[in-house]
Amino acid sequence: MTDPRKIEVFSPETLSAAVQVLAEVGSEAHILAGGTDLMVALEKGFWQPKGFVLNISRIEPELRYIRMEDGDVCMGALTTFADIARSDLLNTEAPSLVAAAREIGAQQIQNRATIGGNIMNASPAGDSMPPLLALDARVVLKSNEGPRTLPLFSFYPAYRETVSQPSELLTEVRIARRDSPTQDYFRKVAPRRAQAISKVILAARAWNVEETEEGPRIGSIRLGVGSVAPTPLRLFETERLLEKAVLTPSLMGAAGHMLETEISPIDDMRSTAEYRRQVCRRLLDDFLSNLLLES
Amino acid sequence: MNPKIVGTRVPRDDGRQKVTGESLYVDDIDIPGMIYGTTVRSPVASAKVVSVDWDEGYDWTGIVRVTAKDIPGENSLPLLIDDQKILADRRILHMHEPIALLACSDPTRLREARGHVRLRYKSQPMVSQIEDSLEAEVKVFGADNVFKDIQISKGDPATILPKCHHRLEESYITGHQEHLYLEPQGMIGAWQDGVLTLTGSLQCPYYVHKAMKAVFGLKDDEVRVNQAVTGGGFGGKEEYPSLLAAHVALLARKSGTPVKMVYERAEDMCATTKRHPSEVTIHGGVDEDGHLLALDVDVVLDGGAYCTLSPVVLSRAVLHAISAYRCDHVAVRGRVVATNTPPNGAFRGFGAPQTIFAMERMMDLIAETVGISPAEVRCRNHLQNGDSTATGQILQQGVSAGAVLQKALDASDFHSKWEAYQGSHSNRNRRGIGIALFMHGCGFTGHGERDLKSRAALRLFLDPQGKPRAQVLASTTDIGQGMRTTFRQIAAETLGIAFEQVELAPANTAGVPNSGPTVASRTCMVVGGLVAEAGKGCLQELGFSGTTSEVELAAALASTGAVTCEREYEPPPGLVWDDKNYRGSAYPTYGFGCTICEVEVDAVTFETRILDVVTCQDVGRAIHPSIVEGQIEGGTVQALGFAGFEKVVMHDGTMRNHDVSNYVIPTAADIAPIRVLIHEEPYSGGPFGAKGIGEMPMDGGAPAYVAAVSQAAGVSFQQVPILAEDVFAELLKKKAVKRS
Ligand SMILES: Cc1cc2nc3c(=O)[nH]c(=O)nc-3n(C[C@H](O)[C@H](O)[C@H](O)COP(=O)(O)OP(=O)(O)OC[C@H]3O[C@@H](n4cnc5c(N)ncnc54)[C@H](O)[C@@H]3O)c2cc1C
Repeated sequence: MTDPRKIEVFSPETLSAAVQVLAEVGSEAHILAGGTDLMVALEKGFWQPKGFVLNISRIEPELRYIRMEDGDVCMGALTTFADIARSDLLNTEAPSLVAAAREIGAQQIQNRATIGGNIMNASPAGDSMPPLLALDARVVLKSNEGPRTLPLFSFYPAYRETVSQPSELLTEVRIARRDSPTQDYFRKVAPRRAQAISKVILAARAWNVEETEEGPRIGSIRLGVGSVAPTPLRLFETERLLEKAVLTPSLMGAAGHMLETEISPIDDMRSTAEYRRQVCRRLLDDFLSNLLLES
Repeated sequence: MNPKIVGTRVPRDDGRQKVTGESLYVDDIDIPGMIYGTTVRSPVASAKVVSVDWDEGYDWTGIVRVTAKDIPGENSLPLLIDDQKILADRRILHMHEPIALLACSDPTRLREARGHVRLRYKSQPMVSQIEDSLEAEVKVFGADNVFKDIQISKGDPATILPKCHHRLEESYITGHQEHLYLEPQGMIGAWQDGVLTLTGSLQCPYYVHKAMKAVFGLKDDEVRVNQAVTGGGFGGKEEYPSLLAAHVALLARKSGTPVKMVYERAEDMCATTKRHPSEVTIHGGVDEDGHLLALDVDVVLDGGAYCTLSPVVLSRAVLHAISAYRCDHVAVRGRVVATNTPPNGAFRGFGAPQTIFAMERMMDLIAETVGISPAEVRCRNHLQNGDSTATGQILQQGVSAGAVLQKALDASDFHSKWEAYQGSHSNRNRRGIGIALFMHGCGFTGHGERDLKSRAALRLFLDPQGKPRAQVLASTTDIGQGMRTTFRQIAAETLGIAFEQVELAPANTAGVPNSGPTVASRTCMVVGGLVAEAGKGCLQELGFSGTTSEVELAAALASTGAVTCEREYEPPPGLVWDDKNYRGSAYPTYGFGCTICEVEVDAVTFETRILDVVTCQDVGRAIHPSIVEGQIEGGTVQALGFAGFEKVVMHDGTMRNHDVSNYVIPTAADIAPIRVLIHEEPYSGGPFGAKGIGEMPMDGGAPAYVAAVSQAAGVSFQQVPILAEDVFAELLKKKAVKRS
């Protein structure tokens, strides 16, 4: 363990100062937001800071907000899960994200843990990413060359890696405001009801569900999963199978089958591959059955 | 006499200090010149040690280094059989076994230095579980790996069993359990003028005292042991602190400065003792109505690499194997065996939760076989006054099994719920309800209490304002269970003075007599009893036959001066125990309890949710109802953790999930409010009728939970823990769910 007293900490007051630091010595900077991942990693010796810590929590005025902008719901990177849980806008626009926020750690953690930290920590078990994937979220990265916006589904190339560069800071997460009613789903399967690392997560959104004679027809669907692959994952193939098709038991079976080919769960000390695979499938079934019932 | 203080909910003695942070735990205590110690541990489960060297390229300045060579006398930790090394020298028998010790004023350097100790070893074959140990191809202990073998017999089960109308056989398995006390193990050691002073997080100051006298060849007054405020123990700080004490004492001796060692959480989880895993096989014979006729029980416990207190744990395990039931023909065999895993040791319940789990599941199997409800089979078989236990102890009075059973059944609405949940196996979430009836022997087993000769004293004096005050002198410790408060209540009530006029002397071997260890649900019943007797003695010395007015008491003290009265434990008359044949009175008295648990199993994810818990427990007399409720709630939660959450993933002899995020204990959100019903069947040998309550709540949660999950899932489970993965796997096996 590195002696925390010996770690150099730099705490800029403005976003532009932070980005400037990253431009100059980004590869030596360890960004610290709420610290709920980093401090644990420090104690366990997983994180051994070699350079210095760039503490961004003082830029709160610029990075902690939930607001509408150009038809998007925008969250600053320093938005906490407590903020998300309390937000009327998000309760309406992103119920699955709100559900995830309410289940992250427990109240104390929700007060400190930021959405930016959750995304950047890049854990396959991070709870906010499946709903964000199901909500078609985009992330905004900022360097002193300007911002770039990219979809979250293209953000995780490999286990615990992101495409973000050392010169970049994650500043914002954006979700398009819905233009028609949606059906949303979030379920975290974990070994206990609070302070728990997920074993399987499924978040889903469906909209333009049409009644037909044979059954409901899903216009659009998004599926995000966690803890069943090296990275948070969007299930494009399963979505494709379900979109514009009439929901029948055989289609549900085929979708479950497709889901199994897209995920790659493992056996570890937290669960078994078999349990994760089957339960992930059953969660999809649960969501689709709800659609059937509601129609 | 109508008690005024006993039975009330006075404010907790240590409550304020703990809530405000005034309490000083080991980690908070600083002594001038103190440096920090750490332990270098084995990376292998079974090996011959070739050498322990220091990396020559590393700068060791300012770092004190200790190996087995620095031990002044024998390299063994005195306990039951002295087999455990203070530091491994020739052989390594388990992962994380201590090999060397380091101390330095900079704790961060210490962690780094640990990586520069070079251990050379030759790996040996290892024994990782009970089956391999019993085969004894690889020897961890003695010729057959058996630390202790105990047999109990009563009647003639061999003849009766084959003739029974129904004969049943089943095996039951329980896993390791980690204590997870909030405060990890910690100790400070210092030498001054040949006197060794130890301050630690511990349950039994005199255990440490005795061990250190032996290790360092010291006299009684050359070792002083202080208990610091202790953040939980659950048995984990019964025997283990002696090892830690030896380690800090060795470092302090070599460095010439005080040394503090506090374990990191991961280290504590990997290296210290756990609950003994068990395998219990029961052959049962009943008549057509489900009356027990004969039982043959085989108990095997995994003791880990060293003996620790395993024989005593085994003893309690076999003595609770028939639990709260009447049966005339009984054979119980128990063995505790060695494996190359960290030694297992004392843990709340001390072997009883394991065998009671098995017996309770057997009772459920009997009910199912005979076609009666789990409540009914218990009603037909529970012990009553006048019945005899497996060891032939006749329980003349105070058997409250029937009473606690009835109260819990009524409060939980068991009958109608159980009926409703039978066979209602739709695809929705399914519910189940389970019941466990149990008993727990209070105090040490057999002659244990007689041999301990525990002592406690009271000093009665006038304070400067002329008010009578009393001080309790006892070496049992408050480890969060509330002893300080209960002892003050007992003393105040006996002396007829206010709670505020009683204080406790610090638990320090130099200042208080040896009251025996803080274990075995004995503190309140046995030592609290001594406090009451000492109180009566003080009054007698002052010429009173009972309590009197404060004015008279003050006047008497003014003329006589302060009085001190010490009492030594005397077993109740008629208590006879034959340790060789396991016959007679195993315990002076028993507590009885009944726990009922209702659950729902999620049809999509197989997760279990606890809906309701009702538990009725006989404590003899609740000296402090809130404290008793706290013990019952806490013990029940720990039992539910054992049953449905806490899985030690032991792999190659090491605990893989050695952190609080992966070793999952239940949170408040996981447990339904526990409805506690206190039953009071006074025990004449305890203060104001009190029996022990520390451990009994640990006995009932697991079988009740597993029965409930079994009913809900529609498959019967015979092991703990059961996680969602286990429910899923079992349903797959039974083809009750489809693998899609
Ligand atoms: C007790 C406990 C319970 C928890 N429970 C859950 C849970 O249920 N679900 C869950 O998903 N997580 C959980 N976590 C993990 C953690 O709280 C979350 O991942 C949280 O969102 C991290 O946010 P933070 O602000 O604390 O991140 P930090 O620890 O400050 O940082 C995390 C990582 O992100 C980087 N980073 C942070 N902000 C930025 C930024 N703006 N730009 C670039 N990089 C950045 C940091 O460099 C670091 O690598 C838990 C943690 C604890 C301690």
